[in-house]
Amino acid sequence: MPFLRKRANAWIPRGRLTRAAWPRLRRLSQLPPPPFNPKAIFLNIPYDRDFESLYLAYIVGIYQLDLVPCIASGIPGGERRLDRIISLIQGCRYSIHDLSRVELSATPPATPRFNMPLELGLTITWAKLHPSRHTWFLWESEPRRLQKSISDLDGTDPYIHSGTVAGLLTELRNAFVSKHAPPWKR
Amino acid sequence: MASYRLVQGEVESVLRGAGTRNLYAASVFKELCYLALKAARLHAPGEDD
Repeated sequence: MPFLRKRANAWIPRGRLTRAAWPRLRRLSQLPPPPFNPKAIFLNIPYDRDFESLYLAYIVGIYQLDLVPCIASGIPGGERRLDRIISLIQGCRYSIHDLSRVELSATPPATPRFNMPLELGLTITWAKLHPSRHTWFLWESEPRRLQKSISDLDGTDPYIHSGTVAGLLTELRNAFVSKHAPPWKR
Repeated sequence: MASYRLVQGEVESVLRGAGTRNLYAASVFKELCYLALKAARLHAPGEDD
């Protein structure tokens, strides 16, 4: 069917991907996924001053649950940031995506932050492809805001930390119920 | 919360030692992780909430 073949070829950039490259690409796609740390949690959080106390709370709370936090800036090396993030997602058993500060920046031009939703999207794809290797969690400070900001995630219940350290530590224990954790105190 | 307060109390000295004000810097993150691990061994989760 010449018409269909012509349409399909339109996806392939001429001169870049030759017919000889296809077997190599197919081999690459069949490679086993990279090894992962079963205790590692990738933290997808905003890196700003207002978030510092919650950042500290994440680190402390995660270690209390006998798990290990990982952040993008924690990896040395000159690798491209997005590649580092993808490797981190693949290397962690869990990920936490804190969307509590997906808002317009204070400095002009007022721009929403898209880094965290982008990393969440990458993670969802990875978890869909390898459901037994990755579990992701959503964190928010306000209930029902997620339905407004990312309505495609309807049906996903975020953990609400209310922007407080105590709230965050409590919700961490709720999300990662550990055999070492004592009963929840009020 | 007790672990959090313990680590929070050390933040200034960690920043001074690393020679930066950026809490998210790789070297600071590493130090905070050591501190948090040490604090987690001292206090059970939920203690002093």
